[in-house]
Amino acid sequence: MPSAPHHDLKLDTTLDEAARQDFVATLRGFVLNDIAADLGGVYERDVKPRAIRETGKEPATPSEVHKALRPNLTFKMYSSMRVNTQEMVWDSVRDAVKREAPVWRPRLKEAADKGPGTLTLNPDLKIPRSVSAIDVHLLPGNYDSEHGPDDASQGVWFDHGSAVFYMGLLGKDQGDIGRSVSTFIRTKYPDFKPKKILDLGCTIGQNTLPWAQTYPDAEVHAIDVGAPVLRYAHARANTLGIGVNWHQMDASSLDFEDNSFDIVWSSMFWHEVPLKDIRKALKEAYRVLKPGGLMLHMELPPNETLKAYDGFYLDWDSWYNMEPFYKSFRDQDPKALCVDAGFPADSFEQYLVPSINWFGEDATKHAVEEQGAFDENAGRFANGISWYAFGAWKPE
Amino acid sequence: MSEELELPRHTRGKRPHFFEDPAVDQLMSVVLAMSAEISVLYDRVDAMQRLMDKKGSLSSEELETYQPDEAAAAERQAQREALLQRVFRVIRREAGVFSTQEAEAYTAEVEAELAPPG
Repeated sequence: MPSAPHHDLKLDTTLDEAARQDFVATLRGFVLNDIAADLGGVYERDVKPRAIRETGKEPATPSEVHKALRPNLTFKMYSSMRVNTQEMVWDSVRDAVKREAPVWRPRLKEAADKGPGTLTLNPDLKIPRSVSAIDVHLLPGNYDSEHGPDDASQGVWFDHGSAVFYMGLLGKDQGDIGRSVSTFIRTKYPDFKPKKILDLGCTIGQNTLPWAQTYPDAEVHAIDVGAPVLRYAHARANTLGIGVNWHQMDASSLDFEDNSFDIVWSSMFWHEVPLKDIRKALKEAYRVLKPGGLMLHMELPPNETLKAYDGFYLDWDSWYNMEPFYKSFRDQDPKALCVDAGFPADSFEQYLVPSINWFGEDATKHAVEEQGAFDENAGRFANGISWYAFGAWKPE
Repeated sequence: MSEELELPRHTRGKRPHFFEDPAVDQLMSVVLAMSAEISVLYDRVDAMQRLMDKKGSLSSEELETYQPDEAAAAERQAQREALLQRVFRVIRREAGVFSTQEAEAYTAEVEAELAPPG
């Protein structure tokens, strides 16, 4: 069952809306467990042997697996059901966001006004077409559409839809990624005391706030190009009593000064960004980092660490979930991206961080003792959820 | 700030399709949406039954604000999962025994056996 957002901005739902959300969450489980298992089984048993008979070799890349599967009926049914399920996730909360607007609008304004955070919008910012021209992961209106003055609807919609989508896997505040990785870094580098932290592409700040909680003495800044999600992030953080400085800014052209942050962080961000902008933004991250500072990004694992079928399974979102840059990002070597941005090759880091929501904090300590625990099994979720993170230190 | 909020219902960009006839893709969407509505009705009837069992009467307000306790939530969840297995039974068939090479070969034999004369 979905876990509703856990803060004062949670929407009331009707009996039928709650039932619809419960159904969609259950349908997601059915498609991602039962039908996905069927697809894997059909691939191994029928599709792969047929491809070998016809081409003389086993599909070796995610694209070759995709090509072999395209005509297969189970692939078509799985794909059709996944697209529909994704659309139904957002649709299941849409009516509540609309109907409850007279309730959440004043609450949001009150929360925004009371602090402790700040919000700086830039109405002149040119929104990249990778956001303004499409609806990423099929949310109608994406991160940036405004349906009135000072509108935060897309943020409200994103938060409540994400709660249905993640089925409680990321914890009540949906902050498991930020919490797991920040706790891992604090445990692994006890002498590293960041004073200023920046989050890139923060959307509604679920994975920004855990950094402020892990390092309560640090000044935390977060940027996104979408004004509606930032307005919501700001109000949401205030209701939780967490002060963050939210800015409408493009990661590929930061307004911050050189050498000003100890940590530049992002989560689930790069796979929604065109490769040319990723390269610019990583150079910007290098520029704004202080010497001795850490750049760190949680992302989906690169294709080169995965078997061809598993790479295909993740690439599916690039083809069919309106995340067109997902595959081109995951085809990159993260170390090469960091070196291209100016980081020395020997400063590169990558970690496989156990989910605290799934395994608890003891697993974090254990992973730190195992020197980051990154091996050829990275990104394989068979034994529970772990988060892949990569980055680099800026030289002193 | 009191004006009605209008939200989009459809996504920008090309909607993917997987079947030769796009009507099949649209029908899949309709079937899935209908399944959701059946599940919503199940939950509503379930809530009515539970309230009636407990109180012997029912008011609209009690029904609309009904919150299942943990045991009821688990039973309703099992009901939803079973509904999906029934509605989408045929979709899982290809992954069953009939698509193995052995079964395919035997199917060919059966078809030969039943082939009309001439």
